[in-house]
Amino acid sequence: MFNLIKSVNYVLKRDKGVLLSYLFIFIIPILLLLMFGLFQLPSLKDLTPGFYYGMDMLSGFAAFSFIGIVIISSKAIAGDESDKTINYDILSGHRRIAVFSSRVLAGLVWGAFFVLVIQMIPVFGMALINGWGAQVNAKDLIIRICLTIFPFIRLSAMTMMLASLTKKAGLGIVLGLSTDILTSIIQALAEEIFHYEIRYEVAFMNMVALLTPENSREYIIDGKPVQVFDTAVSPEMVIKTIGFSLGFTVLYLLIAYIVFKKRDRS
Amino acid sequence: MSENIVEIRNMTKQYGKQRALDDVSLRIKKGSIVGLIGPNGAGKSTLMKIMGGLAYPTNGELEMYGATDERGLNNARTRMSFMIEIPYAKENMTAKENLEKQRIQKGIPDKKRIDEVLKEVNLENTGKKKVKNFSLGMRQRLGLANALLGNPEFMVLDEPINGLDPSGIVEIRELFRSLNQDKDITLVISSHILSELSLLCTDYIFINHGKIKGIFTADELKAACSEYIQIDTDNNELAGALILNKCGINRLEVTKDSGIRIYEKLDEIRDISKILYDNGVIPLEIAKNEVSLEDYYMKMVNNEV
Repeated sequence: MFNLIKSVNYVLKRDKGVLLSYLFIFIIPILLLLMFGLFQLPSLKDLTPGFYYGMDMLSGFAAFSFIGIVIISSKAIAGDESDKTINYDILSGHRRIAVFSSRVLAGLVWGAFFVLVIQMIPVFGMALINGWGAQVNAKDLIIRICLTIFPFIRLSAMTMMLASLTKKAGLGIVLGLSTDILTSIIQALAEEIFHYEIRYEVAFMNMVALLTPENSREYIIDGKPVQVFDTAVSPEMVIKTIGFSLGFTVLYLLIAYIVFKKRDRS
Repeated sequence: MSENIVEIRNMTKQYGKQRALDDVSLRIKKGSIVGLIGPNGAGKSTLMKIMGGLAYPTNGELEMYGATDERGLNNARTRMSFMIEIPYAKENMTAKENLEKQRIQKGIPDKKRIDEVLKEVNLENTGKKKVKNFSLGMRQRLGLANALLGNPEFMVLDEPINGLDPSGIVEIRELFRSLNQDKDITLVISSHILSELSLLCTDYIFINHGKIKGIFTADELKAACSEYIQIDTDNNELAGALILNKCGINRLEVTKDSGIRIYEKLDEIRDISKILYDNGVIPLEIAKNEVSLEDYYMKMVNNEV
């Protein structure tokens, strides 16, 4: 299976769509952070506690990361489906579980892990410029960032399921993004109509919850405005984030694999 | 006795209401070059896909290199290579990059093998040209290069000379011959260009509507396609009966349109005509003809044999 993963990586490394997606995920936050003046305006610089503020900003435009995850995951799982080159893996005697798993692993690494890392680069960059910020607990933040991988994995798995079922990376991207938009609308409606707060049930909301400060207050310390955040990570947050994410991930991948295993290849 | 490397027993493949394979049984001997012959939709590709693990049979059994279970069949596939339907490739990658991907997934350690196979199929000078700019012939060559990459013992090739120009066809024919004779590679080749297959194959399998219509060795097919006496008379029905009863001939056919064809005792043309004449049948035409492979193929697929 290691050879299969290497061959998928070989293709992904040469895929312009994948590289552009990473660039998009990397550039957009930087541009937006610059636009908000975090790097430039002294007043804002004073206001921000650095790292956490950047993370909070990211939660505001995390949709870009989600787009990146959808594109890259679709290409990882179904890029070889569209041109049927995946058939060579089966014809070469690899078991279908290995052919499927290799693409899933590549999809999760390229689509979830790398996206998270790239997304965090501007935030870490900002922390280097503005400082970590005395008002936040570093350990809490690291836990929150690490937890963010779980909704990413879940989204990546959902996209991979859609792309694998349709056997087309392009269609997987369209369906993945449509599903994201649809679930966001349903979430908004549910909260509005039933007054039911959806947090962990939807990957996007889960991620926002992880990156959003709670109970922030603004204090004037030594004549300067300072925001203080409650960054504590509750056990409920950890359990529900991991539980919901892994539960859905297993479900999505199981559905996709059963179909992949049973279906004749055209 | 020749070793059978593939044996298919009573295989059926159903796609919805359509039966793509219907109780197919066949054997492929080691060292043979088998021509798989049939019209479009006959079931050739389905058969190849099942051998390659791309499709599952509805019923029946597949045995390759002595294995019938999934693990064993997958192990057998590591000794084989396939080119089914159009050769698949990454459009935005070069021939070399495409082969490199396959080299990695097959776990072939030697990178030089890519240059070797590209040279074997005459694609060594494509450089940075992407596959999307390849002609059909070049794609076929790339598909062949891919099939050769892992030094297979057994190659299954679907229409491998499609899109090749005449010199390319000759060149690839020689390549197949050399692979078979020099490297002892067994080949299964499907093609519509029957004259090409007749220059190459040691065995033939005719298939139509998912059913095996006939399995022949080259000698048997040559005999079946050999000469015949064509007779047309003023009473073909009576003539047919006379030939059967008085000439001791059993291999003949009587048709409304083309008269009588006799496939044995070809040297007794004079005696046959005399017998007919003596019994009041007037021969209008008597000639020695030959059945081409195409003729035989058409008869075979139309159930006329």
